[in-house]
Amino acid sequence: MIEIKELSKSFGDILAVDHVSVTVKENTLFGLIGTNGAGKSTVLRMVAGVLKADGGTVTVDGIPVFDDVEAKKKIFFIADEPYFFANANAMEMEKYFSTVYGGFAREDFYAYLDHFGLDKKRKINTFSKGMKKQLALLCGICSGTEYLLCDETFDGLDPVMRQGIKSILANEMESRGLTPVIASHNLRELEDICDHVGLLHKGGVLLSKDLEDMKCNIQKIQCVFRTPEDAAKALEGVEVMKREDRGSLHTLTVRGGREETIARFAAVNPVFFEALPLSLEEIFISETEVVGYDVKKLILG
Amino acid sequence: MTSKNSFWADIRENNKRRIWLWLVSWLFWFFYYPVGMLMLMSRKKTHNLIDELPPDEAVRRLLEAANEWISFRGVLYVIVTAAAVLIAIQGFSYLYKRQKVDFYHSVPVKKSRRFTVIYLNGVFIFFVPYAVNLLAAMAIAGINGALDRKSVAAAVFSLLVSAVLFLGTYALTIVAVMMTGNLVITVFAAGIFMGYELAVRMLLIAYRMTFYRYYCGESVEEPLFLTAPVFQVLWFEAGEREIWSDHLERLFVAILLAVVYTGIAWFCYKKRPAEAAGKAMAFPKTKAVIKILLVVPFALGTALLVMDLIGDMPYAMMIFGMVLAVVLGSGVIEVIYEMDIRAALGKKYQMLISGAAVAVIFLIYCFDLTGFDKWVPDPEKLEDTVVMFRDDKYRKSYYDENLDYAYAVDYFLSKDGVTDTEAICALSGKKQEGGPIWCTMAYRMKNGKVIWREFAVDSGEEELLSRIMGSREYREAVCQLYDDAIYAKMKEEKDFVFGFENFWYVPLDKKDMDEFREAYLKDRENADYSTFKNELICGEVSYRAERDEEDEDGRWTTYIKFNYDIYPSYRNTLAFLEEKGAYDAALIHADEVESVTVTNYHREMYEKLEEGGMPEAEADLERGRETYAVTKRFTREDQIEELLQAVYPASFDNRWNPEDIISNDYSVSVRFKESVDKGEILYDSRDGISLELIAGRIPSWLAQETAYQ
Repeated sequence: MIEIKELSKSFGDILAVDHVSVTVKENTLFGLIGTNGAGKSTVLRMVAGVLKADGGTVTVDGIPVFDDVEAKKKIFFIADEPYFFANANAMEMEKYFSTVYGGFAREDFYAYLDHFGLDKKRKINTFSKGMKKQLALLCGICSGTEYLLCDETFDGLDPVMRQGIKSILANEMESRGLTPVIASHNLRELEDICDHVGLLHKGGVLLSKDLEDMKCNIQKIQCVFRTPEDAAKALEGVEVMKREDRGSLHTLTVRGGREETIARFAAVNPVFFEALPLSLEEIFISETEVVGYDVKKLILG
Repeated sequence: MTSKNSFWADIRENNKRRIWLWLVSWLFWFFYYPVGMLMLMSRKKTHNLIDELPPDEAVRRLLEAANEWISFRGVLYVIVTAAAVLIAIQGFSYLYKRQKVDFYHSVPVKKSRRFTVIYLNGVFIFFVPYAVNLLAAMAIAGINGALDRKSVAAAVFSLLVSAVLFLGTYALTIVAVMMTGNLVITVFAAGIFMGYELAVRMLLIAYRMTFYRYYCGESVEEPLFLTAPVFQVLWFEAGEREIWSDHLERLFVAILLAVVYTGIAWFCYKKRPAEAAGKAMAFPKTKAVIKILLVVPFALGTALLVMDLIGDMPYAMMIFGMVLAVVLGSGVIEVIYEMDIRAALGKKYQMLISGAAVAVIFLIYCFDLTGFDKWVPDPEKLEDTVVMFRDDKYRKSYYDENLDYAYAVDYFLSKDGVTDTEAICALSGKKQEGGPIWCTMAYRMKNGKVIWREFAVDSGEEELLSRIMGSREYREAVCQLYDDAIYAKMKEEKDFVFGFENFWYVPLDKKDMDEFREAYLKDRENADYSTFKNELICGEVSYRAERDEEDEDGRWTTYIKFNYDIYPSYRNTLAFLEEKGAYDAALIHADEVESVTVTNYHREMYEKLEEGGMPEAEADLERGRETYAVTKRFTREDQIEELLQAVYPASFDNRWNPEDIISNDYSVSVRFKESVDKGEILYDSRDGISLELIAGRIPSWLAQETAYQ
């Protein structure tokens, strides 16, 4: 488990991370969402043990990570612009990582290279940006570490590649309990894979929740009530997070369990009634609007 | 899967990133040592054939050449320093890029391991090719029969000096890398680290010279540099390898510097924030300190520059220059720190601190707040004093026990100092800025400190000056004839000449040298300042020898010369000279002279001209007549006799005598009769020898005879 408590970091006069507290449980895929400059990279660099926090702590399985080799053995960090040795090819990177990560899965690495069509002998500096990111991800996945920190790593990957990587991540999570932490400024990129999401804004955490919890507790309902009285009856005691009315068609985002909410609306026998699936984006919009933020501007812009 | 994370695996991996440096290092040393040695041997062999040298000479030439090549030569200072800077920067340059820092610092490798690996690899990159190629060069020299014990010692010395220089500069440059965030600033920082101490020392010397009246330049030589390894080992000349013991302190300090800098480099590496990549300075807290440390000497130097450009002591301009330098220096450094031109006038409080520091230092020197000029040694604390009068330093030559030339100050410092501390302190209390007698004093204090002062004293301080000049220590220092070892060596010199000089040079018999020495030293015992001041030199005994020497650069001749002034009160010496018939033989006798030509320069005319009121003289000048000199030839015997009573050889040293004892109005030339044969003469020719006139003996008629018309 990665535990981030009251983490702060400033660069000169700029407060990049301000008392962030987040917990990343094992074997979950944690999505760290935030706009550019929100502090995602800084948080990840501190988790990777690259930056020293000004305040607060970061522990990996209970070990403070900064300057600790034992903690770092559990982590593989892929920076937003991954670095490869000058003129190196994939084989040379594998050799280096094999010296520093005792559990580097060489055979898997070469198998994945084949699978993704990456030439192991081709100079990495001739790779496209996407290919470099794939290679960095494969290095990370094969490093054998328990935690994989990815900073904007999925940006620039084509959908097929992204899907391929996601499937590998899923396999690794299942087979050896890998815990990926993926930072991105793009919510849509993470919605189908994240178990837990932390939203960073201006160096602080706006929210950090399990996706399932969020999905189960927010419902989006489209309905046409017979009478205004029916509508008032159905919505009595319900926390409406968002409401859009187009003529007699009401689109409501309400907090509550799915069964309970459906039962409540069915009870007033509406003309039309449908419970719609909620996207991660919509959940975020609803959750953050509640606390006074316009998340569209923050993330979806 | 087993871990391959061993130390040597890390070394190997790091080396993969530094292959080009290995290649450069190998190639350079390969061409410098084995290839260079091959070419040298080939060239020297060809020279041997051309010169048709006998086998012994030929081998000696090869040996000397090989020895020279293997030795630590001047060019290696530059090469080793440049290599250390290059290798240090290349090794740790990953710290300049955020991408690389993220990569290296996130992998599970201990900082200490990473530092050690990069550091050691740098050392290997330099030394492995260096040592291997040096061995190869020695092997080539050996094959050519040009290797002996001396060459091996030279190679070991070269390796040692290179090691000390490399490790010190390498560690210092790593410190520079650690403290900065990009290549350009690192190179600046390394240059500043290496040159700062020298620059500050020079600046302080310049300030002392400018503002202290009694500052002595002799106090600055071969300082023990505490920061820059390159200057620390600059005294390890190849030719001085036989005297390693003289450099032990420097060697120790240089090694200590390397160790301390390595420690500082490691400390900085450990503490260096990752976010420093790409910034000017890695440690924000050092920015202000470094800025002030740079701005203060810059501003102080500017003040001196202004003074130098304008001349005299233009205080207002100097202050303006300093203020401008503080603002400009602070601004430029701040712009570099922030990479933003708008930052130039930021951090004004740092400008104020710099300005205050500059003002304080300037005032300390300007108003001598440390009491430098007022200082007079406390007799209780003074051990002895090495006293040098100006001409002791500049007009005489001193030699060591091998009769090799010795720098006067070094020579004096090697001798006993004057222990009459009461006289020294009393004389020091009478110091003045100008005067006829200039003294350099090296006060050797009881606590081991040596304090230098240079000042003038009035010739009226006869009693004090006599006590000092009459002291055994001063006498033995200034007159090397006292030194038994040197005297023995003088007698060993091949083909030396020994003779008496007055108007003529009269050779003396070498066998009489002991007798002369005994007589002269006996007379010298009683000579002091009063003797030198009140008597005129009446001749000098000289010793001359020539030595033909040869080295790689060619052949030359070394001249060894001692002069011993003879005063009329030197009864024993004069008796010796008279006994040998030399004294009289060196004089000019009236019956040998055909004519005496006297030129009166009429210097009074120039003075009058300067004062004005001499229209005819001005008219003369306008007509192109530039001199008022009147020359007249005297052939009458009575006139010649009178003039010869007044003539004095221009070469004699009359510095101790009152200024006007020799007239500067006249010059005299003597022409000898055709029949006169003096044999070997010192002075130019029978057509004329240059003489001066003793002021008190000038015939009364001479002025009239040579009056300006």
